[in-house]
Amino acid sequence: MLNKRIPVAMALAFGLMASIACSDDEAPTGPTAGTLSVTLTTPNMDDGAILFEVTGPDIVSVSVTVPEHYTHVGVDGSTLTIVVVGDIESGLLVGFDVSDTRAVDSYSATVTQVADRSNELRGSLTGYDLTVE
Amino acid sequence: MSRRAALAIALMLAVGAVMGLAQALGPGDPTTVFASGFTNPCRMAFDASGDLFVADLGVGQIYRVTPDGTRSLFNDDIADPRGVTFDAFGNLLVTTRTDTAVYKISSDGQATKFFDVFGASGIAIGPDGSIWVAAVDSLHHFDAMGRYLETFDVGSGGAAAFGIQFSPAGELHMSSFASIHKLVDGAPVPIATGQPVQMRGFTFDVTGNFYWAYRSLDPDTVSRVKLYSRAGIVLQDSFVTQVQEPCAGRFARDATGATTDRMFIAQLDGEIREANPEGFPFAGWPVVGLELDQISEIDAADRIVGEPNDLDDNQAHFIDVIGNNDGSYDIGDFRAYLVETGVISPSTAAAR
Repeated sequence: MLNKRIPVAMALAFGLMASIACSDDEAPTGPTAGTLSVTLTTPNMDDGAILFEVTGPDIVSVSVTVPEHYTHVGVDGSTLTIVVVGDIESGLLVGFDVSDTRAVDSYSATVTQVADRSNELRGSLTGYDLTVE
Repeated sequence: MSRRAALAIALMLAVGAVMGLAQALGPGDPTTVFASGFTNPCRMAFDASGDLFVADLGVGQIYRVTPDGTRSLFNDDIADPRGVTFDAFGNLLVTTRTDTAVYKISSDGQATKFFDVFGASGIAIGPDGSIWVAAVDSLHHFDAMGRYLETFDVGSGGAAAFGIQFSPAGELHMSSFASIHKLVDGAPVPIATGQPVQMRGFTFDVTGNFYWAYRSLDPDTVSRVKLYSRAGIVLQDSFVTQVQEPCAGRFARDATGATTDRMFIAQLDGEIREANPEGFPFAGWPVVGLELDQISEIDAADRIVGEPNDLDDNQAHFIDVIGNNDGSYDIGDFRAYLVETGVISPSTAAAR
């Protein structure tokens, strides 16, 4: 199981390092470690919990991007199962550290369950989307 | 048995013989007074911090008694309290016959009407946190939130007049004047029958043996607490004899909530006595089958994300009941659990 609560500052530092790496004039010649983010698009305004999977190679750790959210991660091979509980809105859900950010296309994220803030499970996941970038 | 206890028993026997009152002392003797001054303290429950709560029947008062025996009034809003137990959330549930209701008293002593049951008496919390209420010749079953589930006719098994308890095997047992039955597939099955009338409250130890209070109305027979096997066989006819008209026994909990080998015995003369703990071979069995605080947050979270976990089916069912109650454990239920345990704040947007 991966650490569920990495400080936001650390996550931002990872992002800064990644952006510095990208601003270099020379193209990187090898793997570039960094943080990828999972962004949610939701059709609803009252989501209270979301369960989703992230699949891809060599995920090192998961970072919390909204401190008020409760986040817990399970690992099965190259698949992370992540639950985030709180007042969920469209936007950044979590970040995860990888050994090579250039392989971003190797990663995918899929919504499994969503509950509203009255704890009821959504009957349909139409309109929900996760983006890895 | 300690040397001191053995000496005390020997001394009592000697004194009793001299006075012509000799009686067989049991392993649970000698007893000592723990608290007194009640009218009828036969319904008792321990909270998770080790305090004893006593419903004084008839006078409408519920007392808290700390481990050192100090008592204070907890609530006097409920007329004719009949049965008490703590629910999975730490509320004291109280049955009453006067207005045919079950009340819920929060930790600060505030009582609210929970649900209606006619003629309610004994009350117990099951392994899944659900609530069982004995009433006249029926057992009524409610979920942990007080929603009605089902009713069983137990008339042929007695009226469950003196308490209902779950055994370590998770089977609901009920005591009437002369018998104990357990509920199997919705029907009462005899465990110990043909016992003297005036058998009253009972409680289990961790092995499933049970201690049953016998109030003798015969001047030639000693009131006592008898020990039975889980199959209903008398193991010790006089386990505790230094009691006067006992009506119930409860194993105490310590400050961590663990059930101990200290047994407190309520008497119809208004005293609560403590038996000799050194005479008990095993600790008591918890009378509350499930408590929210006992559920591990990590286990509840791991079950959601598919990690190995120790959340059992009763706990998962309970979390579903306090969540969306749809019959399966999902993230809506897990969210409800986090709110209920204070891990996250309830959303202002929540409809409930």
